[in-house]
Amino acid sequence: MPERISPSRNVSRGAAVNEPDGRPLDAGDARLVELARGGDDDAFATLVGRYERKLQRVLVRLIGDHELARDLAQETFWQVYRRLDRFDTARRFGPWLFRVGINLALDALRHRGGGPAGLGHGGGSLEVVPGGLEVPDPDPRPRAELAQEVRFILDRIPPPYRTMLVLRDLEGFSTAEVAAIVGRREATVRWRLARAREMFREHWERREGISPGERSR
Amino acid sequence: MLAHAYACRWVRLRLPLAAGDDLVGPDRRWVERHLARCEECRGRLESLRAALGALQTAAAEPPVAESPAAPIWPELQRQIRESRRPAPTRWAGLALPIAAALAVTAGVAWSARLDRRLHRGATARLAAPAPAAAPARPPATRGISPRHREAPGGDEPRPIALDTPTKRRRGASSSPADRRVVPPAIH
Repeated sequence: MPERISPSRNVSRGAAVNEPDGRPLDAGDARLVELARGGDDDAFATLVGRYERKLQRVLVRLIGDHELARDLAQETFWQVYRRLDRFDTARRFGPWLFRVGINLALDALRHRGGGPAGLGHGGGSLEVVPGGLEVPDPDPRPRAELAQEVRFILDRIPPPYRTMLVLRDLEGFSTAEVAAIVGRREATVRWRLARAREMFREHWERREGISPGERSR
Repeated sequence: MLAHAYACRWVRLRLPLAAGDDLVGPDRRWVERHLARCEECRGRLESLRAALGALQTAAAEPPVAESPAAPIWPELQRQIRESRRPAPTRWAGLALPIAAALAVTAGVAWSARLDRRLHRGATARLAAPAPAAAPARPPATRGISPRHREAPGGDEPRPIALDTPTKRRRGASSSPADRRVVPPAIH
C-alpha cells in the first residue's frame, strides 16, 4: 500500500531545512502567497517548486499525456499567479491550486472528446520515466505492465469519477482534501468515490477475464 | 429473504468504501456485521480489494520523474516578466509607421486648411473694395461682388451666381470686362 501523501507533507515545521532557493522550508503557503502578491518572484518560485511535481503527477494520471500535463501544469501556475489577489489566505493554497489544475485537465479532456487518451495524441500508456528515486523493483516489468493496464482502464472511466480515483487512490489525498479540491461536500465525494471504485472493479474483472461466478467462489 | 437481499444491496453500495478503508461510523459497523454472515458480499469485497490493489500498485509507479528534467519555473518566470513589461513595448514595431501616418494626415489637413484660407482670402480680396466703395458706386458697376451691394429695396442679400474661385482668381488679374458677374436684379 503506497504511503498517503498530503500536499503539505513536505512543509516540515521548525526543521532547519531550506528550499533549493535558500528560503526556509517552513514558510507557510499563505505567507508565500502574500510575498508573491507583493512582487516577490522567489516566493512564487518556492510555491511552484513545492507543488509542481505532485500537480504534474495528478495531471498525467488524469489525461495520460506527459507533454500536455506539463503544459497544463504551467498554465495552472500562470492562472494561479494572475489570480493571487483573489486568493483568500485564510484558506489552503494546495486545494485551490489543484482545483485550477484539475479544471484545466477536465476542459482538455472535454476538448479532446473525453475518450481514451490512447486514441488522442500522446498515447495512453503509462510511461515509466527512468531516473526515479524509488527503490528499484527486482522485476519491474510486471509492475509496469500493471500500471499500463490500470492506465487503460482509467481512460475508460468518465472524468469526474476518474478524478476521484486519481486523487484518492493514486495520489493519496484524504476524502476531506478531495472535497476541498473538487469543491464538493465530503459525503458527495464518498459516494462518487464508491461509484468510481465499482466502475474500476467492473472494468478490471472484464479485462482480467474474471466472471462473476469465479469472483463469488 | 427479502430483508437479506435488501441488506446486501445496502451493503454493496458501501463496499467500495470499505475496501479502501474509507467507511466510518455506524455504516462501518453495519457492513462488518453483515459481512460476517454473507459469503457473497465477502466475495464482492475481496474482488474490490483485488482491483484496488492493482490501482495502488500502479500508484507506486511514478508517472513523472522524481526530478523533472525541465522544471516549470524558468518558463513561467519568463512569462511573468513579459506580462510586466509596459504595454507600449508591444507596439514598438508599429510606432514609426503610426507616427508617419499621423504626420501625413496632419500635413494633408493643414494643406486643406491653408487652401480654404487662400480661397477665403481670394474671395475677400475680390470683395475688398466693396464695403467702402460699394455704396458710392453706381449699381451698374461691374466686377464688384454683388453680395456686398446693398439691395435697393432692403437688407436681404439676393441670390447671386458666383464663379468658381479659380476663375475668380484668374479674373482678378484680368480686366474688369472679362469678369463674368451677373448684374443685380432690377425690381
